[in-house]
Amino acid sequence: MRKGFFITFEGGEGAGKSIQVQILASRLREDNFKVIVTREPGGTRIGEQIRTITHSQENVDLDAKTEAYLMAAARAQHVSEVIAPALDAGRIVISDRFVDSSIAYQGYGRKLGAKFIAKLNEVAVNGAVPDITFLLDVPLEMGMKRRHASEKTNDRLDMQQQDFYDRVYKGYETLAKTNGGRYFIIDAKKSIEKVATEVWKIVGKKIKKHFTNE
Amino acid sequence: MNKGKLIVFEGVSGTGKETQAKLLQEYLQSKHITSVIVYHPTPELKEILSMWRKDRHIDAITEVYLLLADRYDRVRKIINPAIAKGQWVISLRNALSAQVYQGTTLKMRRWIRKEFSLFEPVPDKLFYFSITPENALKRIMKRHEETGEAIGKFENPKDLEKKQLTYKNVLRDIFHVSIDAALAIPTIHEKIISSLF
Repeated sequence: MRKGFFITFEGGEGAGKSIQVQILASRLREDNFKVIVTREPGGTRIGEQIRTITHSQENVDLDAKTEAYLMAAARAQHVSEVIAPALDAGRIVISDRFVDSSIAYQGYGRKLGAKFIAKLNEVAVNGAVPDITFLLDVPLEMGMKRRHASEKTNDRLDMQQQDFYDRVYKGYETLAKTNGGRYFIIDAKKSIEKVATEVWKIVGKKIKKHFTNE
Repeated sequence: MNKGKLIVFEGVSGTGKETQAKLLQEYLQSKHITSVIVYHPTPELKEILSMWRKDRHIDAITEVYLLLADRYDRVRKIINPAIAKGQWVISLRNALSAQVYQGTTLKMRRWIRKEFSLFEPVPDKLFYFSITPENALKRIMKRHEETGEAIGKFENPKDLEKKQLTYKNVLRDIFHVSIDAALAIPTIHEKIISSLF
């Protein structure tokens, strides 16, 4: 059994994951917990370099499956270099996205199949299953607006993109249903403060239980 | 039109696989058969892996996933289309190498075999090149001096011997033709041709 505690944030674009990660981490640090904040894709130098491959202009025709293998490579490195050592050392790890993002985006969104992606990532995850996963639920339109608020662009999604994001959304819904034990859906239409309060209510209770039972 | 063929050359480094691949390609050309030589891993990935092993502490599992991405891309873009066009593909190594080099445990070897089997075409013929570790190392150093090709992390006598043992294990249940790499280049070439035609 790992001594640490693993929290992940999932959800679509503009759901406010990164700000919630920050708020939760500083709240935990106030209580003297040792916290590691990380994110996907990326999280390690190898992961960042793989990300430049998958995002490079030269690779616009990158096959969905090739991309899935590359993401799994980045994740394997992320787990072995960052997440597993921190959990073994009894830390709290908070990750902005984790394997469920691959399942939602590549499994459902790019139609590779949830099962295929989950199976492919099993070895990469290496038992690092989150204790809590927050799904920050925000309607697609609102998330996109938030995302592009600063850019003032008027880019509307075309039908194909709309379909893609709909599939991702439904994928997350399914993940939340089938992993009920660790999943908490938070209504992310609410203000940042309100979302943070809800997150803390759940984390505070679980953390206390986890660290006093040992 | 005839379907093409996939020919795989396996074995530790320094066994003369590449030399034989080029000779086979020339021979095929004389028979009016177009062929393609592919490398696994691709030279691009080999370079990256050697860099990341040196200064990034790349995890063995990460390596397997990168090899999967690399090979999947090659199979999809080059190997399958070539075979469909009736060409021959000569692959220097295939998924077997990942089992031997990255598969540190039986469990991991099984996992690697399973993942690659999802897309890797079964070779029409698999040649396994065997050699003594000392001879292999001599050849690797010579090639390194001549071409500047990076020396892999397993390219030392002890690892070469271990890898050969693992190869034998992995190959036990796979149909293959064993080649004594210590033989003269033309002799090996003839053996390959006679087992193909």
